[in-house]
Formats: sequence, structure tokens, C-alpha cells
Amino acid sequence: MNVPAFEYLPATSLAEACALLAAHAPGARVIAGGTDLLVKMKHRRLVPPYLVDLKDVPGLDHIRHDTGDGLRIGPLATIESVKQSVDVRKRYPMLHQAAACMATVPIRNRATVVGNICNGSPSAEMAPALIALGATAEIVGVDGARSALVEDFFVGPGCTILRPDEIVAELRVPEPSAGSGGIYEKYSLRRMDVALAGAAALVVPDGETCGDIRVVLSAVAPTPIRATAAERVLRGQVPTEALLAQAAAEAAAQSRPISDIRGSAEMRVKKVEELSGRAIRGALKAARLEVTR
Amino acid sequence: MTLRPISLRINGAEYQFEVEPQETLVQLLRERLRLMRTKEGCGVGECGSCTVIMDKRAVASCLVLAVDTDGSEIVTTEGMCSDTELQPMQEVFVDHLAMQVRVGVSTLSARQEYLTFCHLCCGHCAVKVTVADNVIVDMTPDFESGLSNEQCVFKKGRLSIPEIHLHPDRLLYPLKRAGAKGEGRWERISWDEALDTIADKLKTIREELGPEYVVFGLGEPHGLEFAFAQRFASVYGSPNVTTPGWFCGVPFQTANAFTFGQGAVPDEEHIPELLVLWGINPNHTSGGIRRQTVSNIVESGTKIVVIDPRKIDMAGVADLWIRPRPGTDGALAMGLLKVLVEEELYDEGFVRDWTIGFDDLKAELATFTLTDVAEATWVPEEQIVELARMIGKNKPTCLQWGNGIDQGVHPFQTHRAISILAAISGNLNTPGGIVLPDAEHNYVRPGKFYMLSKRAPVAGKTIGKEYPMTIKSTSVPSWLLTRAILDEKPYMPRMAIFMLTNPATSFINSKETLRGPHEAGILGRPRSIHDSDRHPCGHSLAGGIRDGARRGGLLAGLVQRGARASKGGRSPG
Ligand SMILES: Cc1cc2nc3c(=O)[nH]c(=O)nc-3n(C[C@H](O)[C@H](O)[C@H](O)COP(=O)(O)OP(=O)(O)OC[C@H]3O[C@@H](n4cnc5c(N)ncnc54)[C@H](O)[C@@H]3O)c2cc1C
Ligand code: SF4
Ligand code: FES
Repeated sequence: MNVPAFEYLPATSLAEACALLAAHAPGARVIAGGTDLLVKMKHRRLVPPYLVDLKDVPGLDHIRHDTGDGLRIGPLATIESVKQSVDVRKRYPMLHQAAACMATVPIRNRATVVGNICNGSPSAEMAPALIALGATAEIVGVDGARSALVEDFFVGPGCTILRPDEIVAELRVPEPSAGSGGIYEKYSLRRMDVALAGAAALVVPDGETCGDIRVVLSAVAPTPIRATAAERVLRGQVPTEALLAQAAAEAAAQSRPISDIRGSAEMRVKKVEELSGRAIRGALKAARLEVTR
Repeated sequence: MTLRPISLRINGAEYQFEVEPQETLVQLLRERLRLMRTKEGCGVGECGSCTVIMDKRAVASCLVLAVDTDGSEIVTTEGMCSDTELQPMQEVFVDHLAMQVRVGVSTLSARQEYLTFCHLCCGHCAVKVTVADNVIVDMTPDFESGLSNEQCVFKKGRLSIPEIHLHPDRLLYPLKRAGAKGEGRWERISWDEALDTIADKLKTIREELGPEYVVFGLGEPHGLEFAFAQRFASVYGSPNVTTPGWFCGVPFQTANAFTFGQGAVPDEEHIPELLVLWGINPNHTSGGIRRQTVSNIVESGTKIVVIDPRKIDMAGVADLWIRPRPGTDGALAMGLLKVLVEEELYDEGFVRDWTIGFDDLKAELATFTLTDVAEATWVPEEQIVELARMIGKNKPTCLQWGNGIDQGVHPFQTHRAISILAAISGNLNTPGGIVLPDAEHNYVRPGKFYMLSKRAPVAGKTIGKEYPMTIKSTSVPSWLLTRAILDEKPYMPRMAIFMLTNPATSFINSKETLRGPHEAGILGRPRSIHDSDRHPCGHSLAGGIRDGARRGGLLAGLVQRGARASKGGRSPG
């Protein structure tokens, strides 16, 4: 299948990349791994006249953890390298789980975490875990830098807060609170497929109670969403089976999935209940909290 | 478009290229280096057939831009394995029975191996089937018999075990319609009841109306069904048999027969200097020329020409890709003949010794100009001249055509022109060209096709007798059967037996076709998988197995029950 013709603009620094984007706005796009972009271009769903390539910019593929500072993920760090990172696996198991169930090895070897977010898909594999962990996107543009929570990054399907000249220069994931536990669960037809529903849960224990909790859903609304009603059910409570079931039901009630060729909206709502129940239970267990009868 | 220089290592060798930004790695590997073992399947990262190793990591080369491979190291399957031995990965696959389907049969059960052939497509490749506890548990290509085969048995064949052989809806016994037509309710009946019902109907119709009132619709044979069904039609006495031949091999076979006296096939034992693929995509479909032969030809450096409006797989590696306006292949062939004849590039000896009417051909070729051809075909004049010269100068040239022409307009006349082109360029019956199979070199399945023209039990009653040539080839054109049912001209058939075919999809004009049997009588249909939803008007349905002999047995059962002409229509042998 042919990629439509475009003008190739390699950048050697992020500042140059932003300038190129600004000079060729709004038609220019950044290309990272290309696993979203090239598919869209082959299908002619997107025909950008210019692609700004970041691969000649040195030092963008880092995954670095510093105690106290947290995790930094560069814009060219691949999903596979996140999956294989020992720091990620040890300290951010949720991110590791999400990376491990995304696509196939040949895709993960090219696909980037930042590209996954910037693509703006409601089913972005890495989004629920990043949002649950309170990650921020460090953004650079011709007018300077800013930072935004990943939670606030998505605007609608394929749409993010990025302006045409802006680039995500790094993702920062804070140190998780001591004793916290998190789980990511995905439902898809085949393992490699995009999620039909995804759920991440992060629990910060406070004694016997669930001190804080975040539940994030993907693929069941125009953007990834926090299941705030589900969180309220458990926050500050001693977890019980009844509360857990209620929280899962609240998550399902808050989801607004669509029907498409892969499944009906009703099916997805049911899946959300099941997945968020599993994710919350898993997170409670990882945080060493017992669910009483 | 600005080209960008890149340099990279591929399978250990250094290369430098100038690439366009939109060129993908798989295109570079295949089209510039002819590393054909890297395939483009889905093109969007899902299937894995384009996987290569880039800087020690597996990547989908269909989603990698060639510009991004500057400075990298690529390894393709060509760089990993030799033709003669397994590489470590393949050995692990073999050791762990990778890619074999699990069918729930204990690995301890005794296994038997049977040599048979693959039923999935018209290639009918030789395969070895492993059976345990009466269930097919594995299929592999039969490497020992020396008969031709493709490698798809490893995947397609094995997947047919759960998806066809063990399919829960597979028909294992006869069903009879229980509800209204189209309702989809069926009940199981015994083989005896099925055979009696059908035989009774057959007898009544023959006695009351005549045997021609029963028509036989045959599909792609999975075994010997053609032989059995045509013989059955002959002993029963009906001349009305239809097959999908009209959009498959019949136009070219008939054109070959008109021109050479019989059908021709490519000589797969010798590598040609030039391979012309005309309306055929042998890397993706079988039939005509085998994939392995194509691979050998590509790897030997033979020049390749692809004639196809679309950029098919092979067009990427072709030295010349010609894109005719769909349906103008005949005009293109005439243009090529014009150059070949007028530039005297044809084989004089062949023309002198083996042809008649060459002067008439010359006169015909003088009636138009190359500009006319270019206008009709949208192929630039220079390309027509270039290809004609390539055919005239490269000996041997193998001209291989495909169903792309048979399914177009004027396939018979187009094939005649192409047949003449192959012959007078000196590429008929020469090693590496196209050859006429004889008793010693028989490439086709054993047995003979039975030609309707040779059977005359009810001469003059054949539907479509105003099309004598089609009738002579194999069968009544399917649309004439539909018209006969709908218009009652020349008469309305009262029963149709469809075998291995779904007329709703294989006949011209599905809407009319579906209306037809609704108005006609019984519809019996030996098939493997129950698909009555796609067959809403069937009356009764006989369960078959994926085995031509059993379907043949069904017909034998009907003969036994007296469904044959009383005065004995003779079997053609
Ligand atoms: C077979 C297959 C399976 C897949 N399975 C999954 C799956 O299971 N889950 C899933 O979530 N996704 C899946 N994907 C989608 C895709 O692989 C991921 O979204 C991937 O992470 C995208 O990253 P990339 O580097 O390839 O992005 P690209 O295609 O390079 O870019 C994607 C978008 O982000 C923009 N962009 C990239 N980097 C930046 C930056 N630094 N700043 C600003 N904008 C930027 C681009 O302009 C583009 O619009 C699959 C894709 C394929 C082909
Ligand atoms: S080409 Fe493949 S599917 Fe066709 S008969 Fe041969 S093995 Fe079977
Ligand atoms: S062609 Fe299917 S993955 Fe590349």
C-alpha cells in the first residue's frame, strides 16, 4: 500500500521542529514511530503535505527514573523499551502492564509512548495508566514551554490540546505514593487489537481504608475519562464486596461508549463494569488492602 | 519531489539509495533489491508478513519509511536461512509443532498418514494428511511424490481443519426443508430417504416431461465431482449442465484450442528470459504458474513484465509495468502483434512451417495505427513498442495469462490475439515458453473433461443452443439457465441439482438468479457447510463431506435407484 507523497522535513533540534511546524501550519505533522500516522496516511484518512521527523534530534529516546523526581519518558522512547525497563516494571507496574498488552512486538519496537498520547485516540493504551499516575506532558512550542496533566490533554477523538506548532518534549510521571498499588486491565477481541474498553485503578492505602483512589477508563467515551463516581464510592472507605460492586456499577454508568463493527455499546458497558471491578480489586490487592464481605 | 540519499546495510552488504520520502522499507527491499520473501500483506502493521530485523529489533517494514533507515542494519529472511537447511527458528517451530492446529485429539493416539490432494482451490496440490481417532489432525505438502504443490497447506490447509472439517455447522447428513421457502428450517432425513426423494423426482420429471427438464449446476470441483456429475447427467439424459468455466478457464482454453489445437500451460521446468504476467497475480493466487516457479524466476534475474491496471504485488518488481485501460487487453495484444510483425521480430521459421493465414493477419494489422491502440488502451505508444521488442528479442519468453482476462470483456478474442502473439514470437512449445501438454508431460488432473458437444441423447434440446461455441466448450451459459426459468424459453426446467456452487454468487445477476429457483421445482445441493441463509430458496439439501468420492457416491446411489435413462444413456467412459 502506498503512502501518499509528502515533503520530508528532518529537524535537528526541538526548537527547529517547532519552527518547521509553525512555518508549514496547519498541514505539517510530527512523525515519531509512524505506526498511527502512516496507517492513517495509507488509508487517506490524513494526507499531511509535510512531515517533521524528530529522529535526527539527539537524546529523545530516554526513559529515566530519579528517586524523588519520578519517571521521564522522552518523545522517541518506544513502547517496547518502556515495557522492558526495569525501573518501570518495579515502580510503575501499571505502565508496564499497559505497554505489554499493546499491539505486537514489531509495532511496539517503533511505536512511542508520546505518539500514543498525541494521537489523541480515546482508546490510547498508555493513557489510563498515565492519568491514574498523575503524569504531565511537557510541551514546547514557538512561543515557549508549558506543561499539562495528561488527564487534561485529550479534547475529543483524534484531538488534543496541542497547537499546530507544539510538540510534547517529555512525559513526567511522579513518584507513586508509598504503598500504593495499581492495575491496568484491557478488553480487546484479539490481544494485539486496540482496546474495546480499558480500565486502570490506582489505590493509595490509609491504614485499613482506601485513602485515595483513581479509576480511569479508555475507549468508552470521546476521551479517556476519570470514573469519578466510582472513586467517590471507595475513597476513605474500608473496602467491602458491596462497595466494590457499587463502584464498578458507577464506572459502567459513567461510560458513554459507541456501537461499532467491533461490538455494541451495551456490550461495552458490561465490559466496563467487569474490567473496572477487576482493576479495582487488583489495585486493592496490590496496595495490600483486604476486601471484606 | 526531493530524493534523499540513504546508506544502510542489508543482509551484510552495504547499499546506497536515493529515496522518495514516502517510500517504505518493504517497497525498498522488494522493488529495488527483489528481496521477495519479505511480503506486503495488510500494509498496515497487522499481519506480520513484512517483518524484518532493523538494528536487532523486529519491525513491520510496511510502516517504516525508507528515509528512517539511514545508517541502520537490516536483516531479511533471505539473510537468515538457506534453501537447503532449516535455521534455528524453523527447527524450534518443527520441534514444538508450531502452527499446527489443536483439534482435541490425544497426542498418544495412533496416527496414519494418507497421500491425497488439497481441496481448497483449483491448484489441487499434493498433500499428506495425518489422521488420528478418525479425525484429520494435520496436513503438510506432499514433498515426496514429485507432484506439484504450494506451501499454503501449512497455513490455509491446517486452518481448514477447525474451520471446515470440524466446523460445527458442517453438513454430515441430508437435510430436508421443513418450513416455508427461505425460512431456514430444515430437518434431518436418512440417506435412503434423500436418495429416494431425489430419484423419484428425477424419474417423474423424465417420464412426464423429459430429462432435459433437469439441469445440473457444478462449481469448482474439489475432487472428481465434474467427472461424476457430467457422467450422471449423461446417463440421465440431460444436456443441461452449467459450470463456472465461462469466467474461469474456458475463454482461454477455447482460444488456445482455436489457435493451437489444445490448451497450453507454462513450462515450469525451464527459466525463461522474459516472463510476461498478463492479468494474473501468481504471488497471491494460485493457478497457471506456481508461486515457487515465480520465486525461482524472480531470483534468477529474469526480466518481468506485468500487465495489470492495478499495482499488484508483482508490478513492484517488474522491469516494465503496463497499465491498460480495463477491458482493452485485446487491443493491446493487437498493438503488440502489429509491432512484432511490422518490425519483423517474429519467428520466420515458425510462421512458415506452422501457421496459416499469416497474410490475413498482416492485412488486419495494417488497418489501424499504434496511435489508435494507444488511444484505446491508454498505454503510451513507446511502451507498446518496448514490450513488443522485448517479446521479440528475449528467447524464451513465457507469456502467462490469468483470469483477469477471462473475466473481462471479449476474453475469447483477446486470448486468441495473445495466443497468436505467443506462437509467432516463437515461444510455443519451446523450453521456458508455453507448452502443449501431451501424454508424457501432463500437467492437468487425470481423466478427461466430458464435452457436452459429444453427447447427443436429446440433441437439439440443449438450453442455449444458439451459442454453439460455448455449448461445445463445457456448458450452458449460466444466465441462459436463469432466463429459461424466468421466461420459460425454450422451456422451464423443473429441477436443478447444484453441486459445489452457490448460484446466487456464481451466476451472472444474483437478483434474477435468486428469483429463478423460487419459481422452479426442487433444488438439491450437496455441500459441506450448511449455508441455507445464503440459499434461501432451496427445497432439499443433501449433506456431503469434503470428499469428492462421497459426493460421487451420492450420484451412484441415484443411478442405482433407477435415475438413468431406461434405454441406457451411455457413460462416456
Ligand atoms: C497493528 C497495530 C496495532 C496497534 N495496537 C494498538 C493498541 O493495542 N493500543 C494502542 O493504544 N494503540 C495501538 N496502535 C496504534 C499506535 O501504534 C500507537 O498509538 C502508537 O503508540 C503511536 O505512536 P507512534 O510513535 O507510532 O506515533 P506516530 O504515528 O508517529 O504519531 C501519532 C500522532 O502523534 C503525533 N505525535 C507524535 N509524536 C509527537 C510529539 N512528540 N509531539 C506532538 N505530536 C506528536 C503525530 O503527529 C501523530 O498525529 C496500533 C497500531 C498498529 C499499526
Ligand atoms: S494452492 Fe494452496 S489452497 Fe490451492 S490446492 Fe494448492 S495447497 Fe491447496
Ligand atoms: S504488511 Fe502486514 S504487517 Fe506489514
